[in-house]
Amino acid sequence: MPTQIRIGRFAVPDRLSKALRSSSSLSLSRGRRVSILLLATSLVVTVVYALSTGAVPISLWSLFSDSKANEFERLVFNEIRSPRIVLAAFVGGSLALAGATLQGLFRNPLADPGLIGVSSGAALGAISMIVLGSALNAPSWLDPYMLPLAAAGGGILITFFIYLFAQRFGQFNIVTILLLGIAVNAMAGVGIGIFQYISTDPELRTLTFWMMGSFGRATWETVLPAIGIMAGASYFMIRQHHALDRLQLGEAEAAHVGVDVPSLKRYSILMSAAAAGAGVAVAGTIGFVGLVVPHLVRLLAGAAHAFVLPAAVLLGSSLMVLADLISRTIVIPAELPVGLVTSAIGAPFFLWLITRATRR
Amino acid sequence: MIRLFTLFALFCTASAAADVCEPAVDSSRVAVAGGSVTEIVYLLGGEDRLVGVDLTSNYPEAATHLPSVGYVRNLSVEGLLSLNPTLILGEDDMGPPAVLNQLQNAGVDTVHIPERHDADGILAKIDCVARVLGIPGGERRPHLEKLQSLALKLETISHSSDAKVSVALLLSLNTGAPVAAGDNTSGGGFLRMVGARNVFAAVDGWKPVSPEFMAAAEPEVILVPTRGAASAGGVAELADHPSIRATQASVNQRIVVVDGMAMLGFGPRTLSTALDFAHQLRDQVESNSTN
Amino acid sequence: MLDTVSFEVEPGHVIGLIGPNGAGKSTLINVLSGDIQPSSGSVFVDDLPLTDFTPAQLAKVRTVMSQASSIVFDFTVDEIIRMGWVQDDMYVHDVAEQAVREITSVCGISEFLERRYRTLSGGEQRRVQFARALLQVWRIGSSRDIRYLLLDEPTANLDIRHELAVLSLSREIASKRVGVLVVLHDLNLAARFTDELVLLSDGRAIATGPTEKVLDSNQLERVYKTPILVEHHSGLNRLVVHS
Repeated sequence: MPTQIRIGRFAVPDRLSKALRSSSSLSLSRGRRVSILLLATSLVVTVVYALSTGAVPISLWSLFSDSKANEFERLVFNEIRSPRIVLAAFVGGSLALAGATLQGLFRNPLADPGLIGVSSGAALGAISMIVLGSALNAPSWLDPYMLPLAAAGGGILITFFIYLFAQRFGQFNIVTILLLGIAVNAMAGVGIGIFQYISTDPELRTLTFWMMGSFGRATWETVLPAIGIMAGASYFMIRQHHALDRLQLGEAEAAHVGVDVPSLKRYSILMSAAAAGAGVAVAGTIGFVGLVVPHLVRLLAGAAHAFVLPAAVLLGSSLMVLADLISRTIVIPAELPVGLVTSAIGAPFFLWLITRATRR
Repeated sequence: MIRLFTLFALFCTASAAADVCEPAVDSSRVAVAGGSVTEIVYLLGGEDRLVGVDLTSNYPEAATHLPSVGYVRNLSVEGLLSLNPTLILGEDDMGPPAVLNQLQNAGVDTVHIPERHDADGILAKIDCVARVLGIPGGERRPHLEKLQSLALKLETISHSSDAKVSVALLLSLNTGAPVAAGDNTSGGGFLRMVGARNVFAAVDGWKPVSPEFMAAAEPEVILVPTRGAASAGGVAELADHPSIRATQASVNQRIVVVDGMAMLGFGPRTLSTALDFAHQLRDQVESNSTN
Repeated sequence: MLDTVSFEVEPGHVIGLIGPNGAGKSTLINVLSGDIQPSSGSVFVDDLPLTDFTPAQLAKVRTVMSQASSIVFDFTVDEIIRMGWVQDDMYVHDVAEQAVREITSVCGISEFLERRYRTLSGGEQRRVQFARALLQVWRIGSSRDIRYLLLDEPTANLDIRHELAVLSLSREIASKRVGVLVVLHDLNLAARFTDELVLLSDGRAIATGPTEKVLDSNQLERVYKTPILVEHHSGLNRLVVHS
């Protein structure tokens, strides 16, 4: 005999069948508005300072006031320094945002873009291009895009793979995705290892530097498409703040308060993969920003995503511009890989976070 | 004598064909990426024009006091431009390409000096640098002739006997399996130049080799760059390394340590280093035949 | 897990779900809230199959308070409660503020609204979750919406005072066109606050009906496998269960 359970006897009011429009307004408390304002100000200050500092001394004032300013200074400013600072800001912002989104999604403060395979997938794509690319005979106008395209392709492929696999299991379960991430990262590691083995010495070193991350390769022609993708994906991620908050109650509980949990997961994973993948493709793998920045932001003014997401973008941008500034000015005229700088700052900070969390 | 003739012939054809070696428009301020190119600039007396060198440029010692532009494969655009160079001279592996493009867009001449891992390659490299820097033939000829005579001696000694000594050239030993020079490497070129038999000639590129493979290869002599030996903790430690202990070279204490840049840079010092090593190998052959 | 269960929850009524551990009470709540698809049979909400609703539509007609909810990040109590606000398409700031004020004061949690949820005791966290659920079923006085409130052991970890407060509030909310289904362990609370009971055992509804009928000594002894005596206390004027 089939089970039948009835709740009530009345017809559903018509307007309930209308799709719910999720509110994307960011209504923030005063403290949070002040924090956002401070972060935005510090981003502007950092960017202006970064624009005016570098191996080639350039006076911003003379650049904009004097039309006959040095042609060379203008070139360095427009074509070399500006694109890399813009790129650093966008990559920092989207890595931090992807980190915050994924931490919210996995309800795990240790999640970051590396977890869903973006970084290792991108590394695999990059090394396959470094090692096999010469055999492709691509037209020369494609040259600046080959490595970013391969890296982005690798990142998206691996993320998509995890995603399909997770759906195959029927349940699009967060724990499943975590475990799949570990397995797929390991498999990408094998692929990278094989390519490293068959690569020549120079190819290997190219990969090593790519893996350490740098904004030194930034030119407008590669920066613009990348920031387009990052900006778009970021917009869609920030719009999810309402649902991400509710997800913190638990997956079932989020559904109880009206969150379409499966679509939230799909959306967040693909958008953070796109944002982080585009960043990794043009700048290489840069660690710790996606992991640490969301924590800093939460320390600043709480965990509500309406605040955490935009604040992570602002702080991630400032910190990355600052890290890039350090990387390119600390050993003038040479430069350090920026991934080295972020890890050098991020790793001890992360240790401090852990000790702080265990003490409580 | 035939060899000397071909060398001269090479110079003539090189000057006609390879256009990368054309004199630069302005070579008054030069930044160099690549240790051997720096050595060549010093050899030719062009050091006054140097405004910066890369991290691999550690010879002569004076070069290390110049501003460093970073690692040869990971140069910094703005850093380089801040030195206001008119010309950037680099080895084949100078990069990354995006940075070189930006440098060209900024109007700085960048020249890749072609590299070949043999004696002719070294002479061609020096000749190329000299011509790019616009050093007149009268000034560069003495240097080239001196090196040619070294190349000739090397040629003679390395062909003096049909019995070739088996040599393994190992790069680093501190990370488990030693990394050995196979075919198509500067190390492989060096071994061919000195007339040794590279026991890992069948391997392509620099590759880690297993202890068993090492023992089976039976190197009579093991050649190690200074830094590799130091990282292993000295020659004695090195001889006792698990993958080397079983070899003839270790038993007979034939582990030779040579300055890495002098050996593998394929700059001016490589020929004399090769000649010294070739002499040691000839002694080895003679002691083998007396036994 | 669940075998033969069939009953109706009507607005204005408080229905208790009782039964020994492992009888399927939480599973039933999960099925009713849409977390689990029943392998056969179906759940209807207002004569429509549950599966026809989008999560957002469902959130407006039924509210669930689950057994436990652990929060990883440092959300404040105020933020947690406001997550129960599901009427976004008719969001009126003042209305929402008034609802939050009313509910936090009746739940007695106004004084720790700004505290972090993670620092609260188990009982305090339950009260916050209850307030969150109340906000979800809250409507302005003139509203004629029908809603359902599913409570899975809302009194766990609560002291006597708050136990009574939570159940009195549930009774009160039922009078505002809300059907309440509540899982209870304490049979005395069930006797005192419910109109009807569903007695579950091994996934079957052993008895369904008015509270006085279901609370039968023999029936309860069989199901709970322990001696139980139900008697009418004339002083309190309600059933009292002794075990």
